[in-house]
Amino acid sequence: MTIARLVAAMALAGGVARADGWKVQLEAGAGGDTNVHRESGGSPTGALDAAAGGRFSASGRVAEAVRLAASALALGRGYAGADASGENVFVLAADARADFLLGDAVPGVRASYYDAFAAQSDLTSLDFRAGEAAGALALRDGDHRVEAFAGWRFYRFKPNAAFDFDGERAGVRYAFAPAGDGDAWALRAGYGINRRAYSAPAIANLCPSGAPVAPSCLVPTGRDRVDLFHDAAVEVTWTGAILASARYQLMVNDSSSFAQSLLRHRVELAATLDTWLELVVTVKLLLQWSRYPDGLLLGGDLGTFTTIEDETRNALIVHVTREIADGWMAEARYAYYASPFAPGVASYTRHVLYVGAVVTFGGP
Amino acid sequence: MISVTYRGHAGCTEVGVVRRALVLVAFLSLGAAPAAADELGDLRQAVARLGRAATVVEADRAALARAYAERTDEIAALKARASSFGRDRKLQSLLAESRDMALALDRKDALLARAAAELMAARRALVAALDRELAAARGPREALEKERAEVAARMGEARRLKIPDETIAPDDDAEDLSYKAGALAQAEGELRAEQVQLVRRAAEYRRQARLVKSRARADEQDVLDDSEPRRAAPTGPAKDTSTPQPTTPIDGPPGQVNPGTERVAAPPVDPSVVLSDVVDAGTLDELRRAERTGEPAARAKAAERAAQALGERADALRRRRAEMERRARALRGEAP
Repeated sequence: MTIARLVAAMALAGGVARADGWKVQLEAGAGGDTNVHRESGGSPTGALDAAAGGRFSASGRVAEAVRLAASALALGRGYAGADASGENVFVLAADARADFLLGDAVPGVRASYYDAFAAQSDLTSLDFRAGEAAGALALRDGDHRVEAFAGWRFYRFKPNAAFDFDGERAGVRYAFAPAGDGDAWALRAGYGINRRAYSAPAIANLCPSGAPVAPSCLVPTGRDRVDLFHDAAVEVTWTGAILASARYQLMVNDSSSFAQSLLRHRVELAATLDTWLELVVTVKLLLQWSRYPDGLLLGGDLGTFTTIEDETRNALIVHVTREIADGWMAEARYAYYASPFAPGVASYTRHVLYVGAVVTFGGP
Repeated sequence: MISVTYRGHAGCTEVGVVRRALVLVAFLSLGAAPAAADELGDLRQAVARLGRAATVVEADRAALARAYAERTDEIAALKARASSFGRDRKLQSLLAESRDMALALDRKDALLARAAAELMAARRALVAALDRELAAARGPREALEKERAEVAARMGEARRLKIPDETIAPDDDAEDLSYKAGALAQAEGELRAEQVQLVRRAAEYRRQARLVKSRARADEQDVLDDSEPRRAAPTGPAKDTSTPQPTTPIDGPPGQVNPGTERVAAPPVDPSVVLSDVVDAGTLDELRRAERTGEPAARAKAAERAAQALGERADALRRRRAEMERRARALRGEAP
C-alpha cells in the first residue's frame, strides 16, 4: 500500500511546484576568547576574534504530494594575532530533504554535508568534512510522531587519513507534542547507531593490564579499526511563561582500538525568558561526564602517557537577544567552559564573549 | 472517566449506552492506529449515542424548567391574593415543592454540562480521526471534508457568535428599530470582548514566538563553538606516538538536527468555529491551519488577523446601530 502511494506521489512529482517560504539570514560580530587553542593546563592563549556569515533555508511542495526543504550555511571566524590566526576557520554546510506525503506514513530521503576548513591544518585542527545520506519513514498518529531512518555516513579528517571513517547509520526518533491552547510541552527522544569503519589499523596495548602505558606498548594490529557509536537522547520542552528544556544524552563509543572507547553522559538544562528592555535571555547549563574504559591517553609526554579515566566538562552559556528593528536582532553571548575536577594536565578553562547582529530577510 | 447517572427520567435508559460510548471514545483516542473505517464508524456511533443522551437530558431539563416556571407563577399569583388559612397552606406546599424543583434543576444543569463536555470530547476524537482519514485519502475527499466541517461546527455551536438582524426594513417603526439597535449593541459588545481575547491571545503567542526565536539563535551559535579541548590520542605504531593525534570527534558536526525536533500536527481545537459567522473564510482557514501547526508565530499571526477582522465587523455593527438609532429618533420626531 505504502509503495503504491509512493509511486503515485513520484508520478505526481512532475506536476505543479510551489514555494512555501524562504529565509536568508546574515550575521556578523566580534568578541574575545581566553583559550583560542582549547589548551588543557598551562597558560592558554587569548585573542580577539570576529565572525561573519550567512544562512539560507527554503521549503516548497511539488504537486502537493512531495515536500522539499533545504538549508545551507557559510560561516567564518578569524582571530587577531599571529599566535591565534592559525585557528581561523570557515564552515560550509548544506542539507536537503524530500518527504512524500502519503497520509500518516511519510517516507523521505535526506542528505547533508558539512565541511570545516582550518587556516592551519594540523592534528589538532577543526579541519574535517562529513556527509550523510539516508532514507526515512515517519509515522504520525495524532500528537505522536515516530521516524526511523537508515543510511550512510562518512567522515574525513583532512590532516590525517587514519581518522577517516565510513559506515552505516540508523536510528529512530520519537516526538510527542500534545496540542493545547496556550502553554505547550513536548517530549522528544531518539536513538542512533553508527558503524564506523576506519582506514587505519586498530591499536592494541601489549603491556600488562594496570601497568603504565608507554608508547612502546602500543602496536598496530592486522585489522582495521571499527567503532560502534551509540547515541541516545531524551528531551522535554515546555513553552509558556518561559521556554524551558531539559535534555539527557548518552553516548557510547565501542572501539576495537585501544583507548578509543568511551561512555559519555551529557545533561543540558536551558531556560529562555523575557526580561527588561525587551531583552530575551537564554541560560544554558551543560554538564558532561565521560568515562574512558582504557583511560584517555594525553600525548606529548616523553616516554609515557598520562592517563585519565573519568572527566567532567561543564559549560555555562548566557545568550541575550533583542529585536532592534524589523528583521534586525542584536545579540550578545558569554560562554564559560571548564573541567572543574580534572587533574592539572587535563584542566581546561575557557571564556568566550561575542557581540553581534543578525538581519533576516524572508521567513514567516 | 466520568459516569453519568440520570435519575427518575427517561435518560436512565441511556446510562449503559453512554458508558459504553465513553469507554469506546477513550479507547479509540488512545489507540495508535490510523483512522480506519471501523474506527470512524465506531466514533460516529459514539457521537450519535452521546448526542442522543445529551438531547434527552436537555429535554428533561427543559421540562423541569417549565414546571418550575409554572410553580413560581402560581406562587406569585397566590401571594397576590389576600391571606387565608387555605391560601397560606397551599403557598407553603408550593414553596416547598419549588425549592425541591430548584435543587433538581441545579442537578440537571450539572448533568447537562457534563453530558455536553462528554459529547465535545467524542466530537473532538471524531474530528481527529477524520483528519487522519483526510490526510491518508487519495480518492474523493468532499464527503469527509463536509462531515468534518459539520462536526467541527457543532463543537463550537455553544460559543458561536451570531449577528442579529442588521436590516432596516421600510415598515420598521421606532420600537422595532430600537429593539434591533439594542440587539446590535449586544452583538457588538460580544465581538469586542472576543476581539480583546484574540488580541491577548496573539500577544501571548508573539511573546512565545520571541522566546522560540531567541532560543533557536542561541542554538545556532553553537555551530562555530568547538568547545572540546585539543588533545592527543595514540593511533599509530609506537614510533609515531610522540606526535599528538586528535581524538576523533564523537559528536559529529555541530548544528545537527536534534532528534524529533519537528512539531507534530496538533489535533483540532477549532477556535475558528466560534467566529465562523462573523469573519471571512480566509481568516478562518488561517486560524485553523495555525492551530494545527502549533507554531507560536503562526498562531499569533492568525489571531491578529482574526482580531482585526472582528474589529472591522464590530465597527460596521456600530455604524449600522447608529443609523438605526438616528432613524428611530426621526420616526419619533426627536431631534437627531
